[in-house]
Formats: sequence, structure tokens, C-alpha cells
Amino acid sequence: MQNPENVIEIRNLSKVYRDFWGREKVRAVKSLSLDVKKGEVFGLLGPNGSGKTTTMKMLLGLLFPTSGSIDILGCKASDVSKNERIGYLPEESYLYRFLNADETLDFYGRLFDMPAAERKERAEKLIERVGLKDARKRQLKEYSKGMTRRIGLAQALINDPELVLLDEPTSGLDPLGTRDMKDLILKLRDEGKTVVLCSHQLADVQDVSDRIAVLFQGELKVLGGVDQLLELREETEIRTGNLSDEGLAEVNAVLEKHGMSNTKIQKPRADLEELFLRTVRESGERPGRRFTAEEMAATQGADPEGQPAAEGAASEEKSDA
Amino acid sequence: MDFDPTPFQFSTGFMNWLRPVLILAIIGMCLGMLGAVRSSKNAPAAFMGGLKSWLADLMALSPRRIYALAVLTLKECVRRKALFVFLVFAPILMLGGWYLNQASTRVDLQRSLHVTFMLTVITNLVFIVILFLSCWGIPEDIRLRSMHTVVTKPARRVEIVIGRIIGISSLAFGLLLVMGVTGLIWIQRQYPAAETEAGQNPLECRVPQYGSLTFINNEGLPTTSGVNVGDPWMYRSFVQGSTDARAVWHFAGITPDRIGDTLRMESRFEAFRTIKGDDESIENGIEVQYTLVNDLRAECFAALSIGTTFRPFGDAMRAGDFEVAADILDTIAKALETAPETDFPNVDFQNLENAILNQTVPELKRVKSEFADLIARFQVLATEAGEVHRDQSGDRAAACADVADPCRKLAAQLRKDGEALFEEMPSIRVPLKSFRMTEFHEGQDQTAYNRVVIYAPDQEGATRFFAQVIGDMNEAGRLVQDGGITTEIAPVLLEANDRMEPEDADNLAEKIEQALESELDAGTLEIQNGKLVIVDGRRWLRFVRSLINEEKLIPQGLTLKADIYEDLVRGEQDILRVEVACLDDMMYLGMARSELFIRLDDASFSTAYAKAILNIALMLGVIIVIGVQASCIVKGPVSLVFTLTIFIIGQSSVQVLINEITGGQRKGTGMIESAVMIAQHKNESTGIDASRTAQKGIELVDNVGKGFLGSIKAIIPNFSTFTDGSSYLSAGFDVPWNSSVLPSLLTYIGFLIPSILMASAYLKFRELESK
Repeated sequence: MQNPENVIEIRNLSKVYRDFWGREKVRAVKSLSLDVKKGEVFGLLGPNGSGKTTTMKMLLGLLFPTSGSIDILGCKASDVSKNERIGYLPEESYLYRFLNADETLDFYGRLFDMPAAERKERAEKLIERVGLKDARKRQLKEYSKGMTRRIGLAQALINDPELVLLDEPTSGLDPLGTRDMKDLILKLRDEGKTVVLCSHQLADVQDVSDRIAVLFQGELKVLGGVDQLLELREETEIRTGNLSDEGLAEVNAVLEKHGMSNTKIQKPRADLEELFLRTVRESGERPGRRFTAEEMAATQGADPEGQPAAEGAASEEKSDA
Repeated sequence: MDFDPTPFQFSTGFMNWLRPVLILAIIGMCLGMLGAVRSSKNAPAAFMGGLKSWLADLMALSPRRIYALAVLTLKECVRRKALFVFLVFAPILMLGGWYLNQASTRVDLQRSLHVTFMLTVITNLVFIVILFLSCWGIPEDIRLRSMHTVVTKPARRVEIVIGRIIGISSLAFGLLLVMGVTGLIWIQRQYPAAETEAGQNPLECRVPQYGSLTFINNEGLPTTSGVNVGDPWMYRSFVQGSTDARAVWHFAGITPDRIGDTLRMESRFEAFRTIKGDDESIENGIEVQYTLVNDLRAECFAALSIGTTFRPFGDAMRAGDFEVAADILDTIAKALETAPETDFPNVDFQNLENAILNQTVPELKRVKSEFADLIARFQVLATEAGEVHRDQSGDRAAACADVADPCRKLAAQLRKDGEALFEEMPSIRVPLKSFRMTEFHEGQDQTAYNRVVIYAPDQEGATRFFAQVIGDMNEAGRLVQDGGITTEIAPVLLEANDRMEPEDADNLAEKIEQALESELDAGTLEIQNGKLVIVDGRRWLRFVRSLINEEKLIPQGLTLKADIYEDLVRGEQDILRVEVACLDDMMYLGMARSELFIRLDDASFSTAYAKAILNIALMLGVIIVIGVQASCIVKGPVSLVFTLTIFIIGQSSVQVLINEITGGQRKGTGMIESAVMIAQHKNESTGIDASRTAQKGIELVDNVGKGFLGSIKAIIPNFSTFTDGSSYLSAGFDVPWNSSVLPSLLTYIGFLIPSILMASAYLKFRELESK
């Protein structure tokens, strides 16, 4: 019987790929057992060939387990009816390239047996949300990779799913798109939905995941909360506003007083993602302007968020077009 | 007109369908179990779980999802440039007429050419398009992984299959609709000039009423086929000219509502000449005569004439001479009891048995139930005796003796019922005006007859007419006047037969008067209470018959009229019997079942054309179903080759070939046998050089292979079912629902349902991401 707190329960799951004659080719997943709890963002990590995509495809019923069991939303993985409550974004957006965004969402909406009015309303909201309003009538084959990912995401959310499975969600996205995706994942979590994602982009996973599992050669190696796993228990980090030289000296003195000899005090650096986002935002506000390093440094620490996803998407779309 | 349309037999067709479907279902279950054993430790549970899940999917079909998938498929087809097919179709339409219009001077051949050309072009173009689309769609979806975005939604695999079939079918039907309408306009535009020149409608659409065909041989006995004149093609049977040989058609459902006041018949016979004949015969064709017959005695008793011993009995029965027949039976009974069987070499019980088994006893039963019961009992005993003789077992003399008793009983019954039987089993033969036939390769003969036919009756016809008139007059007290026979018979004759000439009526009235006066004088008739009474108690029919037989009354110059529906059509099925005779000596007339038909009101060419297009659509539908089914299992190119192979094997010529191979009609076609022949440089007439045991072994293995080939053929559709519609139309016929559209429709449904189930099962239990 499934624990009601769990959205997914995997027990002793194994997958063996065989050749035509039934001989074993690859053992992709080996006795995997894990749970995904309701309302969390769960990251599935691992190098290529570690079995994370195989696991996700078994969750979706695209592959059949060789042994073990999967309970997902209270159903067996082979039960098609579970799909009514699941949204899935594949690794690449394998959507029908001859459809436009409206047709795509309408098509997938019909697959959920949604009435016309509801389909239209949901599609409208999602197209707005993923920033494809201006490109909704263009065939997907004309879309950039980022746009394709976004319409892929929209189709995954057309049914307002309880569980969202994202396979490499930020793959192929520019930093703006990546940020939007991460924001969206967090928002989905805030809405009480469960998100399972697998990705190579460890920083992205770290940013959004509550818990992670690391697979290697089909085996579960690490499972736990991100904070718990990444906490450096032997160090303490203090972050504050810009200190004067006197202030720094006083802090050093205090630290020495507590016997902290191996102390590193420096101006923190923003990461490249932050710089990129800020540049794009400033460029939008002051077109035709080129920024110096000093100017950008002067604005460091400013909150890069608040950039509406739609705006970012629109700028990308323009550049793609 | 080289086809023989047969009505579709639903029950036979259903059983032919059910058998392979059940076998395939069992094979599918076995494969499913095998798959479960390979992939799961608890195979039975996995199998049952899978089966349950598959059945649940079938129960959860959503029209909205199917519609979505169908529309998606349609859009995919359109955006993959499927409509470019019109770029090929347009120039064919524009240029085709240049080459076809002058191809023949005969309007019917011209029409046939245009119709065949157009339907062939449409079929082939759409066929190519849908072949690729149906075989490539699902494998391409799987390859591009677009399928993953669908199957991870609540869409059932069966819905994917149905949606794809509907989508491609919609495109095919759309293409057919547009091309069909364009083609129809194109065909109709080819003919305005021809119509005025020939004075006939070149786009006529005849509706034939076909019948069943049997024959009467030169001796006047019924047979199932006519003479073979040496033609290796057994399609036609021949009747010899100027003999008793006839071709006999029975047409059912001949009612005024369907036929109207004019009986139109159309024939297309082949002539076979044993002599050159005169110029007239060659130029004008040989002479043919139709006779409309209502002869229940012939229907019931003709087969009794087979076999030397019983032939006189059968002949007498057919002629209505039941007393003579009874005498013959008594003689036979006596001989059966007294003489050992060696004295009876000509008693052919096998033939007698067959003859009686072929009787239309139910019809006879309505006439005299006791008589029919006797015939039935006679049949049982004769059958048993036949078996004893055939198997050469048991006491043959005793078996012969056993038949004697029912022979006597039958004879007694015949004596008792004979007169009534003769009254109730009339024989009316209405010979129609003969005509010179057109050779089959030059066209057809069309003849039309009014509902009321004037004819010169045979002896029995005259007998019945005179007996009726005399009997009625006597009953009304108008026959006796002043102690003698009235002289006012002529007005009554004219009243009874308004087509009779007054002069003929006077002559015949005088003859009747003289004959009756003569019988009065002879004492066979008496006058009692102003009416004539036959002294020996016979009825008028029998009495008049004896007058005519003894030539005391000669019906010369008598013509009668017969109403086709009232006098000639008989039975609950409204059957009309038409006998066809060749009147020219030394000539033979060749006929097949479909070569004489009653022509009903013509149908609309456009409607028939639409039905032919519908047939093509159903054929393409089967291709789509097979293509989609195959594409769920194998990749696009393999699926395409598979579907194309099915299509080729489904052609009628290949089906005939397979039938001949599996039926053993083609020698040396065993797989191993032919391989050995090649190796040994032998052929089918010499056979292979091997020991008897080896030959038996090879034969055994080859028979297994042939059995397999036969099984494959049983599940492959016969595509000629679908192209029949085009054949009908090009030959100038309506496309019949019963023998063309309905079989096509049922064949389509017969393939659609199991194919969807199989395809969905495979797609469901297939790992879309398997490596």
C-alpha cells in the first residue's frame, strides 16, 4: 500500500536491455528504491548512462521494468489513467513540428478530454506564461530551441498536473530561459505540485531541488535533501553589506580572538548568470548603450529578479526571429 | 461481360471470417504468454494483467481523443505534401482524352475505356499516397519520439491506431471525392457527340436481374451443363441447334413492381459453327428463340427420367400421363421382386437417388401432400438401395425388392390423384419470336416483350383452353340448346380470348360443336337437366385431352394470350423460367449464367459511379488498415513491402494460382519437390528421381507448406471484390449493393476490427523506447 505522503514509490526497480535472442545487453537500472514526496522538487542526477532517463521512462510507461515495482500517484506505471494527472517534458521537445503553438496545446488538451472552452482558457494562460504570445501562429519547425522547450513545457502543463516530470528542463535554454524555468519549477512547488527533474546542469538542480538522488551505473548512490547534503559543517559563512577597511580589520580581530586563523575575507563575486541577466535587463531599459565594467560593478548586488518571464522571452524571440 | 456476379452469402462469409480471426486470436494469446514468460517472473499474472489493461483501454475509448489524433494525422498528411498528387492528376485529366477519344468506334467500348482509365488513374494515385502515409506514419512518430508526447497523455494505444486510420482514411476519401467528382465530369464531357450519333445513351447503367442456369440435353433431359465444344475455357456451355437441347434460366423476383409492363431481356451469346453455313447465318447470326415456361411437372419430375429403367416413368410424369406412369411403376415393381439383379443391369439406383434428391418436394407438397409423402418415402428406400449397390454390400436383391412395395403404392396413388395432379400442375409454354443473335464480341441483343404475350399454344395449352371454355359454358347451361350442342360457341371463345380472330373463332367453334355432337352420338356424353354429363365420370380437362389426343378436336389456328406475371411466374419467389434454344441446325449456342438477364429500369450513372468509387475507397481503407497495423509492428520500409505484398497476393490472379497450388491442380509446385526437380533437371511430367519413401516424405513436407500457403491466403483479402464495382461500371452496369458494395463493406469491416485490436495490442505491449 502506498504511503499517502508519497507521489512516487519505486521498489527494487531493475531494467535490463536484451538483444533479439534475449541475451542481456545492458543492465541500466539495478534494484532502485526511492520515494518522491508530495509537493517537493526532486532531482535525479547522474552521469550519462547512469539510468536516470531509463527510470523516468519507466515511470511514464515508455519502458517496462524487468523487475521491481513502481507506484505513481497510486497507480501502476502501466496504467494509462495515471497520465491524466501527470505532465511530462521530454529531454528534447518531440512535438509535432507542423503544428503551431495554438494547435499544439489544443491537440494535447483534447488528449486530456478537456472541453473546448477549458482548452482554450488553459492554452491562453500557458502561452502567456511561457512567453509565446507573439509566436503562437508559427509552426514549431520555425521555433528556436528555447521556444521549443517553452512550448514543450506548456504542453506538459496543459492538464494542470499534480506531478510534473521534467527531463533536462534547462537543456538548450539561454540563461534567461533557464532562470524562467527555475522560477517556474519553484512556482509549481509553491502551488503544491510535485516536480521530478533529471538534469546534467547540477547548479540548476541545486537551485530548485528539495531532495536529490544520484545514480551511477544504474545504482542509487546518494539520496537526501539538498541542504543536508551540501552543508559544509566545518565552515561558517557570513555575508553582509560593503564594509570599510576599518570594519574589515575589526572583523578580523574578532575572528582571531575566537581562534580562527584560516580566515578568508574578500569581496564576493556575482556569478556569470547574474551578470548576464543584469546586462540584458539594463540593455532593455537603456537601448543603444554599451556598459563599462565599472558600471556593471556599481550595480552589483542589485536584485536581478523581477524581470518578467514574458519580457525575457520576447527579447529572445526577437533575436531568434 | 466476363464476370459472373453472385450474391453475397453473409453466413458463409461470416464463418470464413470467424475461423481465421479465432485462430489469430489464439496465436496472439500464445505470443502474449510467451512475451510474459520472457519479461516477467510471474508470467500468468503479467499476462492477465496486460490482458485486463488492454481490455480496459478498449472500454475507455474517447471520441474526443480519437478525433484529435485523426485531425493530427490529417494535418500531418496534408503538410507532408500529400495533396501534391493533384499535380499528377491534373495533366492526366487534361491530356488523357487526346489518346482515348479515338480508340474505338463502338460507344460501349469507348465508354468502357474512359471509365476504366479514370477509375484506374484515381485508384493508383491515391493508392500510392496512402500506402506511404499508412506505412510510414507510426514508425516515423516513434523514431522522432513524437509518439512519446502522446502516449504519456491519457491517450490509449488503441486510440492512436484508430485515430491514424481515420486520419489517413479521411485524406484518402477526400482525395477520392475530389478526383471522383472531377473524373465524373470528365467522363460525362467525353460523350455529348457520341450520344447524338449513336442514338443511345453511352453512359447507360443497366440493372440486370440474373438467374440460375441449367441445361436440357439433346434428349430433353435436365443436366447441369451443356456441351463442351472444345474450348479450354469452361466459362460457357453450349446447346446444339435444332434439337431438344435448351439452356434454362430461372429468374426469381419477377413481379410487376420490379419489371413493369415490359419484360426486357438482354443476352450476349457465343456462336460455335460446325459448318460454314450460308451467308445469312454468318452475317446475321444464328437464330435463337426464347420460350417462357411455367411447367411445374418439368420442375418436379424431369430428374426422374435419368436412368434407363425409370426414364419412361419420368417421361410419363413430365407429360402428365400419370396413369401411364403408374403402369410403368407396376411393371418395374414386378420386375424388381421377381428377377434377380443380374437381369437388371440398367437399374441405376445412383441416378435415381440423385434424381429424387434433386426434386423440389416442398413445392410438390403443396399440390398433393400424400403424393409428396410417397415420393419422399420412395426416395428413402431408393437411396438405401442405391447405397447397397454403390458399396456392393448387403443383399442387393433384397434391396431391390424393398423398392418394389413403394413403387406399387406410388402407382396406386398416381391412379387416384393423377387427374387432380394434372389439373393442378399445368404446363404452359410460350414460345417468343425468334431473332438472329449478335456475336458476343460485337455487342449484345436486347429484346422486349409486353406483359401480355400472344402465342400459339401446344397441345396441352389448347386442351386447357378448350376444357375451360366448354366446362364454363356447360356449368352455365349454355352448351346445350334444343337437345343438342349450341351453335353459339364462337362468341364465348372470343370472349375468353379477345386476341383471337373472329374467323378462327368460328372455325374452332365449329370443330368443338362437331366433336361434342360426335361424342353425344357415341354415348360418351349425355344430356341431363340441360347440361352435358361425361358418362364415365371423367372431368372436362381429361375428356378434352382425349379428344385432342385422338385428333377428334384439332386446335389449328388457335392463339392464346398469357400474362407473364399471372400465368408464367410461379411460386413464392415469383420465378420465371426462360428456355433458350438454338434453331439453326449444326450450330451451337454458348452461354454462361450472366449472359442472359432481365433488364430492370436503368440506374443513374452518377450513382453507380459513386458506388464504384465507394468500393475503391473501401479497398484503400483495407490497405490503410493493413499498412497501419504493420507499421505498429515493423519499421516503415518493411511495413510498406509487407502491405504491398499483401496487395499483390490479394489480386484475383494470384489467389487463383494459390488455389491451384494448394488444391493440387498444379503439378510439381511443392517447395522441395520443385527444388529437387531443378537439381535433377526434371519437370512436372517426369517427376523426381527418388525412392518412394523419399517422395512420400517430400510430399508430406510440401503439403505442410501448401497448407501454410492456403492459411495465408485465407487471411488475405481478395482485392477483386473491391474492383468489381469498376468492372460493372465499365461494362455499362449498375454496381449492385448485394454482390459488390456489401461484400466490399463487410470485407473492410472484417479487416478493420481485428486489425485494430492486433495493432493496439502490439503497440501497447511494445516498449517504445526499447534499445
